[in-house]
Amino acid sequence: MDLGKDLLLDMYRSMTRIRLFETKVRDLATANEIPGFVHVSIGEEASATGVCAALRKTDRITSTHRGHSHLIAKGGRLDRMMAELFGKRTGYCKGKGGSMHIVDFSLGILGANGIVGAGLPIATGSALAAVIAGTEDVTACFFGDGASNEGTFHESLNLAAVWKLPVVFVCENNGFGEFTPMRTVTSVKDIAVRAKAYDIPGHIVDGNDVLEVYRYASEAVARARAGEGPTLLECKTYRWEGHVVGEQAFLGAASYRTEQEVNEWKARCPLIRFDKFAAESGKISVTDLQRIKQETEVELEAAIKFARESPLPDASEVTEDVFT
Amino acid sequence: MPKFGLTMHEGTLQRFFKAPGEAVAVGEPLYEVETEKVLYVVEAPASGTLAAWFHGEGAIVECGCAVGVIAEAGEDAAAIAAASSPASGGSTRVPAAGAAGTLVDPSAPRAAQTGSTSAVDAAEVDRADGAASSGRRPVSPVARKRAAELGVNLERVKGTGPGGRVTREDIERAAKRGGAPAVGNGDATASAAPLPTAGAAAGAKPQLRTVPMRGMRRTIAARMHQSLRDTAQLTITTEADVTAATELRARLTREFDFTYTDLLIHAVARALGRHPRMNSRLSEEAILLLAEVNVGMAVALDEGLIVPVIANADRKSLREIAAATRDLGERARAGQLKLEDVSGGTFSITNLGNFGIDAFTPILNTGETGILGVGRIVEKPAVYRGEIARRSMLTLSLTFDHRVIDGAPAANFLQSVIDIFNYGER
Amino acid sequence: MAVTTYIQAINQALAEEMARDPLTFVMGEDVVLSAFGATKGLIDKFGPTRVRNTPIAEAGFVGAAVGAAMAGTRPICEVEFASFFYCAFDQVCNQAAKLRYMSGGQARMPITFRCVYGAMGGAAAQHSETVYAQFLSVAGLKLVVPSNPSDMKGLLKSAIRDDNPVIVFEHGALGGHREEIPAGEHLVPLGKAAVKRVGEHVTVVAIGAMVPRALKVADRLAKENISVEVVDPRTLIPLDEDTILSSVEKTNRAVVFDEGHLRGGAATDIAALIGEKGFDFLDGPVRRVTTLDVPIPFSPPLEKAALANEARLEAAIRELVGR
Repeated sequence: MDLGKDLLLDMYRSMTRIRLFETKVRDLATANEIPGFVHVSIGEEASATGVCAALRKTDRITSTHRGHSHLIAKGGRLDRMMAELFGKRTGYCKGKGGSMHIVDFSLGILGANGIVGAGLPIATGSALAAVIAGTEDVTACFFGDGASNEGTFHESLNLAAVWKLPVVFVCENNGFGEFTPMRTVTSVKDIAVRAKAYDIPGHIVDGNDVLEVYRYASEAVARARAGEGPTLLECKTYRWEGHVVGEQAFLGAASYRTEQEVNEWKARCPLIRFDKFAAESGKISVTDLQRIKQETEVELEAAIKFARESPLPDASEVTEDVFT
Repeated sequence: MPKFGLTMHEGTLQRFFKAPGEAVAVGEPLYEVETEKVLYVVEAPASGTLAAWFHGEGAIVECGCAVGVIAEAGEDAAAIAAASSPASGGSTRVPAAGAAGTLVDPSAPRAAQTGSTSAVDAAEVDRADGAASSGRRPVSPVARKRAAELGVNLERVKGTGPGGRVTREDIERAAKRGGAPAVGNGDATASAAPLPTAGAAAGAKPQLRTVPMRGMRRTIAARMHQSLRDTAQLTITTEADVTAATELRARLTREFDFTYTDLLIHAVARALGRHPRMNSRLSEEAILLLAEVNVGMAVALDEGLIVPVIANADRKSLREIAAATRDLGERARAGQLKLEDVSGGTFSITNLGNFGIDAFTPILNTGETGILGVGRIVEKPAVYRGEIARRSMLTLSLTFDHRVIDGAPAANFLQSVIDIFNYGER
Repeated sequence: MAVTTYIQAINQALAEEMARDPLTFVMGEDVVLSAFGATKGLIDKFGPTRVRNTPIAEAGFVGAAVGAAMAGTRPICEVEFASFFYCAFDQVCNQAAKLRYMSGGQARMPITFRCVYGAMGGAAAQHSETVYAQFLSVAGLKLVVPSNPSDMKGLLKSAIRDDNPVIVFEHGALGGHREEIPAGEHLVPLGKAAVKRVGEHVTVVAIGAMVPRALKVADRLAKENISVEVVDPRTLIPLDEDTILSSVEKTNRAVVFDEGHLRGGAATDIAALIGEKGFDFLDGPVRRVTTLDVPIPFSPPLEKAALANEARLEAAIRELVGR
């Protein structure tokens, strides 16, 4: 598959926005400027980016508690995301959702979700809506290895398969459900094999290679749009940071993984992989990449300023938005 | 001695309007009570002849104690006066089924008092003499409320509900009986039967409910009406950009705590110095420019309004004003204001900003020339230095007596208030 | 006017609303053949795209209804028995109810959930519960409990048009109840109670299938000159507080009659409302006549002993009026 320069640069920009945003969010949460639970995706930039690059703007996604990367990859604005994380009125959800619940309907982002596995039936329903309404929209559903043990995973794959719904199930297998290694609580080594049980295609994908993710996702999206039903992609990846920012407070001195393991995965950084590809392909210059990085830094600084200077919600807003 | 508020425990018999032997009609002014807060006129609860006062003018009487006795038509006033010695002299409540005659204590319900109905009442009295002996009687919530509305003495009503509970029907039955005018007492009908419901059969209930007009409510009613009747009131309003004042307050509250009302009292007091006409009183022939600037501030209480006064506000610093208003406000809510705290005002401020109000038409306190109505401070887009900006806006409503001062000088006064409010004295 | 049963009323409402809006569709357990008859024939009118049998997988298909609603369609989702909602609690309580609020008002959630609830004789604890109380404290849901065919049709149509998640509870024992219902377009607004019988001495707030029973008790007591007013709230959320309180203001006595359980139940909620906002209207304590706090038993005499019934309602009324 020969990819154009613009698409490549867009994917690089997406991964850079995720990396810089998440790093900054981690620091702001540590500094207590962002309240509540914050889960960051550093190290998992490629799966979100590669899948969303294969989608149209009118296509929809569902996301997870670790959802910033998906929202950014689908085109989410850093300023309104940051304002939501700060609990400000100008945030995507007017300060009512927070980190785990960002939504932007205009971009087809049906929302991050605080309940593991909740996005699967919602994505299935979103795909059903396309069938009912007679549109071509495809829905991509992000979830983790943990969710693949939820009943909703199995119910949704079955339902989507039996109704041949236009949905792509994207499992980002980062190896851990909270602090529990996935292999200790999961009957299979690869989540992708569970597709067999529902008679749909299942693929194991290198989740740190954005180009490979893009290739598999494009094929799955094309199948879905053609009415051939759902696909399960398992993107093998790894989160560099803890389950939640500040997890040491829960764990104390205990640890669920080794420093060596973390370092091995850091060596497989999606961004370094992309730099290498760019250098080898000759399509993209180093200055292009540096320019994107600088532009993203400016965008991020503006987003933080916007979030800091935005007003907090007024207490009178507490009863708004329960019903239409 | 009536109890006009939760915090009232006793009252001073300030003045009697009737002497023993004089005829009284129900609803007529009978005597005046001074409380810590204010003066009240107490009306006769029944018609007849005033048989006796139990205390002299100036006596302090506990709430609930009888003050005097009225003999009804056909009763011997002298005999009743002799019989009803003031068992009430101290703190004892006068027994309800005592001698004939109506004990003058409007705190005990009227309807049950009228007429020599003690025989009937006695039959129905659940003689729980003192709550201590039998505990709380079962009275349903609606019965308790209707009893208060209809002026029925609960202690005299026999309960017919489950477990002897006093019900609404019991109260309305008692009110109907007790409220019927005594024979030959034609002039009492108007208000002695205090409710349109008294004659209504149980079940066919009226739409109308009555709230007795007394105490602070009555005083407010009289004064407000007098004010509107006797003066030529005019209200002007303006929306002021008070962003500077919000900044001033933000700066100064680092040093000591004060409210916008304090800042406004401060501004008004100084503006009154510059516009003495606004701080005046109209006598028969002349406008009296007053020497003192005493600013009243209306405080909303459950029972109504009270206007404590910050005396010599023009000579007090903002810090002193803040201390004074805090003290007055707390005492007003605790019902501990003294008479001097609420008298001597020369100008008033009333604030409805906390209730989401912007502009309104305050009514002058009688005897004063101006009253300033304060709205809420609200952030709005406003043109500031040629651009639309977020500004803090405040609507002020000034009512003044047009007999004393005209529109233009009143407007100048208002501008001074805004200017000083924003920037202090300069 | 035409005589219609409770079930036919549902069927009419569904057919009318599906004809009105092509983005409306029906999904759920056995909606094609229709076990109770409510969705009978819809497949012929609207075809398999809009009338969908789901697997017996409540979390999955209820969650799919949530996603379909968020993505712009108007699902009518049938959960066969109300107790099956327990399998989809996350989808109803965490997702359908909350996502509009959590998204700062971005999400629209026009879902109508239908379910059969209540005791219909020998169905035992997992098929006889009322369940609606479990949703009372979940902010973001509307709860509808129609007591007769006419209200069923009008309320269900309003529920389908509502842009919020609404659960319509259909009592299993009312299915054959029949009455004349208005011809043509018939809508009953959510949040408006009905005074089903005017009376003077005591207000009975009756919910769902308890309404016809309360009316029977009222008929009996009328012969003894005990005049009972029967108020049917029709929707538990939103609750028409004014109609309930106005009635109690008039009668001064209140009984809440509900087939649900006592603890944390709808009757308890309404009794608290009356106690708090109608305290000064009361001539006696607010009585709650409900099902005992036990799982609904199977065997008929046990089931009868557990359920809220007319005899207990009558006793409560008599106690309040002292006769």
